Amino acid sequence: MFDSITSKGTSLTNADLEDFSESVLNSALKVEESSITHAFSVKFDLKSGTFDFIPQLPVSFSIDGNLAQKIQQIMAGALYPVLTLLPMNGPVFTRENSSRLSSMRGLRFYFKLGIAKRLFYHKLSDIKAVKKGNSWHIPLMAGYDYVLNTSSAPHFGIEGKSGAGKTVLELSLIQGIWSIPNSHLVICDPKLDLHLYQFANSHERVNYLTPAVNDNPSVFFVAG
Amino acid sequence: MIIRAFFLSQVKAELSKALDVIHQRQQQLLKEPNKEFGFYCVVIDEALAITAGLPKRDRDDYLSQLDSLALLGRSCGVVLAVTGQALSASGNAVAISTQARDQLGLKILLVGNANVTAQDCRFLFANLVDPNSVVITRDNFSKGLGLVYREADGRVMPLLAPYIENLEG
Repeated sequence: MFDSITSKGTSLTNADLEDFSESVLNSALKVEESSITHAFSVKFDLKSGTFDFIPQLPVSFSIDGNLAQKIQQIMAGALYPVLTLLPMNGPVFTRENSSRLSSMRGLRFYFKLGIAKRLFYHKLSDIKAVKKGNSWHIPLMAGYDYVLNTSSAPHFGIEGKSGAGKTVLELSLIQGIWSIPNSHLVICDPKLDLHLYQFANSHERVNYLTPAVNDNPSVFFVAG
Repeated sequence: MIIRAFFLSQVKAELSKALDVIHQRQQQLLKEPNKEFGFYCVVIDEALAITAGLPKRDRDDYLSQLDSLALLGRSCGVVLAVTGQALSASGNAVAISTQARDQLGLKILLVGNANVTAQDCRFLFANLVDPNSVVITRDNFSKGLGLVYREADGRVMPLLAPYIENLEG
């Protein structure tokens, strides 16, 4: 995704990254207070965006989620900004291409090439969904889209404190959806956000709801 | 903040309208399985503000409408969008139910200029083992930083939201 990786004009190879990662882990990875020098190897696959940590058994540590978390912590920083290590939900075990019982297993980590790159737009209306096959793609970052198709329309949720940029992001996604022909929007906005209001006012096919000033509080509300 | 009665009834009416659209489209899909519809998107902004202070019965009513929309809408181009300070699903402050939240195919957490903490992740990214190990890229603009999850690839990654110079254009 993102950028292509280069160091002084030449592309990095799997071997470069393997050497680098092994030396980083050799120095940094400590299990139960002792370093585990040379008890493992690292295998990169730039094409599929994964690298495996392959311990050479027997080792003095257990191969588990704890170990995976430590490796993740070390490598996330070490690989920046060449690769973006993706956060994990738990350890991923893989079967390695080895017939030896001592090195048959690995812990897998996932990454994307480069780092996230922000998109710049002059106007909100510059954001447009692009049709690719059956799906509509709304750009979120360079090389990363929000994908919508009519057979599975993924809903979206945005969470963030005020001032984090929620409204702008919301507007850019809404604008993206609006740019798809025949789309229809309903915006329920309890706090009367100026930008949402303006968006609704200046676009067709948008229904905008906000509380009226003289409306009664819901304490007396009767469901209907 | 206490939501106003007329507004709530309007929101509920719009939600039932969206559910009607779903039912109509499902009928149409029976006849023409390959039919493509335009997207019908319901945006709930500041979701916590809608349920805050509502009597329980009204709140459950409204939340179950969101549930139906989230569960049924995905197959026929009806999109639910929810935003808020916290997308909590339990306790006194409920923005959306757990079921509906699980249907979100695109989840975004914005964290301002700070790092992502486990506390930030507790609603949308509860499964993330170690939020501290996420390196959030920074550029010269401090807004729109965070995490994004996309159902299509099932991966969480750092996000830099688009920068828009002119919101009115």
